[in-house]
This record gives sequence, C-alpha cells and structure tokens, in this order.
Amino acid sequence: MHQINWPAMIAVYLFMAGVGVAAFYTGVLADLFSNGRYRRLAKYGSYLGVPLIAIGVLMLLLDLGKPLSFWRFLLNFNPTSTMSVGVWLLSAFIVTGGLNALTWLAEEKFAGNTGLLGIFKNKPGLRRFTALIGMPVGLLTAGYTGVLLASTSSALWSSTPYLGLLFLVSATSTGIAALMLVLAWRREDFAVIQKLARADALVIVFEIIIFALLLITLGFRAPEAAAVILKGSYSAVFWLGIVACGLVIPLIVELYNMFSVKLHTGKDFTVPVVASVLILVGGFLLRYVILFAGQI
Amino acid sequence: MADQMGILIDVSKCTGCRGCQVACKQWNNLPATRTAFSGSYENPPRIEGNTWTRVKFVEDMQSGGNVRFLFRKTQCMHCTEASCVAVCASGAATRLNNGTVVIDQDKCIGCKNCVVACPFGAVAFDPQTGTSRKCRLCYERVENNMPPACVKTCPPGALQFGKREELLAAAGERVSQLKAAGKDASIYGQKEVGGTGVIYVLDATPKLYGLPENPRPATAGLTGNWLGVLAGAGIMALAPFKLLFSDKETDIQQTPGSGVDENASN
Repeated sequence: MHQINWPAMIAVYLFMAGVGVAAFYTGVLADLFSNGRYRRLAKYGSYLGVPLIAIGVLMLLLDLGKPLSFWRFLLNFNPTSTMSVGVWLLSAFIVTGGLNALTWLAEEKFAGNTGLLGIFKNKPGLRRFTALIGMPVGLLTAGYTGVLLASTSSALWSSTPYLGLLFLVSATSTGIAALMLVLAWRREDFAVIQKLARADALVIVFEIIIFALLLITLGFRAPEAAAVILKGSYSAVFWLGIVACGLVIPLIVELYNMFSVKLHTGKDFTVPVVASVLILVGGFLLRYVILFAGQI
Repeated sequence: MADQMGILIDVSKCTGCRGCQVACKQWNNLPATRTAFSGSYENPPRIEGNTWTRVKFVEDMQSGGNVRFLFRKTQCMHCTEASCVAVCASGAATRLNNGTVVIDQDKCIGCKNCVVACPFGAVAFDPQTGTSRKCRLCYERVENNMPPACVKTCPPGALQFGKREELLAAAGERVSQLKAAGKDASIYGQKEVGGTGVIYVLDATPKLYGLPENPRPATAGLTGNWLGVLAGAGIMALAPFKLLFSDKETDIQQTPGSGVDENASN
C-alpha cells in the first residue's frame, strides 16, 4: 500500500464514534454501579452519544465512492467483515442510544407533556433497557474502530492483536474527557468531575501499558512499521501530540488534581478542562497517526 | 465444485512488453492514465482503479555491477482465502464457483476496505466509478471458452490459462527445468492464502519479485483483536468504573444541590 485510501475524514470518523459511544457507556456504567448517584452522567453521556456518532457516520458516508448507496450495507451481514459488524453495531447503537436520549429529553423543562417527546416521558423501563443494550454495544463499537484497521494487510495495523483494545481504551479516555468538559461547561458539581478525572487517570495508565505493549510487539513483528511511528515521519506528532499531550500531561494533571487538597476545595475548572482538551486532541492524533502511518 | 481455473505466469519468459496491460485495458474498456516518470521503466507505478494488470519491473543489481531486469505481471491473485471477500460489507466481492474472485460493480459502494485488505495490492479504488475494481479473470470470455485477454495476447507465451491443477503440474515441470539451469526457481501461489488462482513460476526469490513471503488473509488477526476488546471492556468496567463509582464515599452529598438533585442545578 503506497497510497492514502482512507483519508483524514476516516480519522475523524474513528474519533467521533469513539468519543460518542464512550461518553454514553461511561455515563451508563457510572449510573449503574452507583445506583443512581451519578444519574446526570448518564444523561449527558446519552446526549453526547448519538449526535457525535452521527457526525462520525456522516464522515464515513462522505468518504464512500457512492454515498447514496450506503443502504447496501444494511442489506448485508458478513461476520468476517469488521466493516459489516461495525455497521450493525453503529445501527444498534443509534437506535438504542437515540431512544435512551429521547427518554432524557422528554423530561427536560422545554419538553412539555404533549407532542412526540411526551411519549418518552416517564419511561424508566425503556431508559434502563436501552442503556443496558447500548452500553455493551457501545463498548464493542469503540473496539470495532480499532479492529476495523486490524483486519487489513497493513503491517502497522495487523501485526499485533492490540489495536482494537488500544482504540477501546483510548475512546474511553476521550469519552470521559468529553463528559468532564460538559460538566465544567454546565458548572456542575466539582466532585463529580474529580471522580471522572480519577477514572480517567486509571484508564490512561491502562492505555499507556497497552500502547507500550503494542509498540514492543510491533517492533518484533514489523520493525519497519514501528519505526514509522517511533522514528519516522510521524515521530514528532507521536511523541509530542499523542504521548505528551494526550497521555502523560493529562495523567500528571489528573494525579496532581487528585492529591492536591487545595484544589479539591476550590472550584477551579481550568485544570480538568485543560486535561480534557489535551486528551481529546491526543485521542484524535492517535487515530490520525495510526491511520496515516499504516498507509505508508 | 467446478474446476478451479487460473493463470500460470512464467516470469522467466516475460519480456516486459506490457502487451497484457494494453489487452486488459482494451477488452475491459479501461481508459489510459496519464503518468509521470517514476524512476523506473515500469508504468504505471501501481495497480489502479482502471489499471487491473501491470508489469512490475525490478532492477536487480548483480555482483559484477550489471543490472538484471526482472519482470512480473501483477494482478488479482484470485485467492482461495480472499481478503476482499472476507472484508466486504456490501456483499459485492464474491468468489465464483471456478475460483474467480469478482467485485460486483452494482453492489460495491466504494468503502475501500478491500483495497486496504488485499495482501497483494491488487484492488484499487476508481474515483470515476466510485467503486473498487480489479481483475475479474475476464469471466465472460472464460464462459465462452476463450482465455482472458492478457493470456490471449502475450507474445512470448509467458501466460497460460487453464485448470489450476494442470497449471500446477506445468509449473512443477518448468521449475525443475529452471532449477536444472541453475536458477533459484519456485512456484508461488500453490499454498499461499489457501492457494491462489494465479500461479507464478519464479526464477528468483518471491521477495526479489516484490511478492509477500507469507501473505496472510486480512482477517487473520480478527479473533485476537476481538478477544482483546472483550478483555479490555471487562477490565475497564471493573477497574475504573465499578471500583470508583460504586464506593460509598459521600462525595456528591457533600455539596448540596448537585448530583441526583434534578431541581438544584439551575
């Protein structure tokens, strides 16, 4: 492969899809495990999920040679095709995540009792059901974005079994970051942001380990592909953008935040906002670099 | 199952005339492409959406400082374990009964997954049609008992069309001849990716001819990757989420008017 077949739009798609589903399942999991104490996260995650996915899928469609024939994907299921599995995961997520978001929207102040939204008012059963389906579908969708690249002939993408895992974990980090940004924008309870930052710090540690594992394995199995990222034309973006900006600095900021008593009592949203923005930028660059370095 | 059909390409007989390229373009009504000098006499430098076969030129530097030209006709290999068929999400790429791999141009919507999946770089996207296209072994000629256009035209007789088993036998004979002449000869395509419809007689290593030594189907790493995703999903649900969010810390209640209190946020 010496040509860019999947352009930058696909990186945007992989990124948006990851943030969307991860914000959704982060909210659902937080709500689920806390018995409702973090209900707000479930609501914001639900609001982020489908719109972000929709933007991502739009990118995917625009990249098609025949965008208007996209429905052909929906007439077919091919279990060995990650693309096909992904299409069905995305469709399932859009339906369940969309219904879930409607149950939240119906209870907003502007919704009122009548009209279409009224149907979705006070439907805890539907909300719970769609959340419980959407959460695992979302987790699989986040992983799918990596598995999609892995099921190709590109040495960088297909030489290790960790790409799906890396994209899943990275998506989780960006989803949490997106939720933190929403909470900061809404001036919500600082303690909840702190909680998310802690969860995110753990996810980043996890991500660093997987990334290292992936690169070491790649170094053994496809040293030329590994060199493109580590030493070649993408090394600057890799070390500065992905490692420093997207992983190490946010981790340090979040750890500092965690152990600094002074910040706990204050309500300075700057630190989590900066960390979140860095994570989102790093998450996008991760997909961008892996997408392009794999097509050299 | 019908007889598996294929092409035997004897690179030792190829003169690099590119008659096959022209015949392919003519039979399939493919337009010419404007190319620039790429540093080699090979042209165009890669398989394209409207160039389904081309002769690859390899300049092999000999020990005496002489350069030896090696030629290899490249096109779809018509793999038994075809990556394009495995990854196709619209059902366009299929393998016919006689082993020919085709992309149905009416069903293809141009997602380019097969382009990035093919281990041989034999599929390309055609912006003109909005679809991925490749050699289809001139199936309509074959149905009418004619060889594919490239085979029909090949002046030095480097190409042979026929039943795969007969081609393999012929290839074996030719390899022993070449070996007797002191060449590093081998058959390529007998076992690779389940056996390919297009079989090469090579007179040098596959690597020198630009062929992958151990081609893998694009879906080879699928199970490992999905297992990784499942493990990751499980671990993350436990480690950050269950661990952090199910603890009985009173972090929310410390700040009145937040968290679950729906009315207090405004």
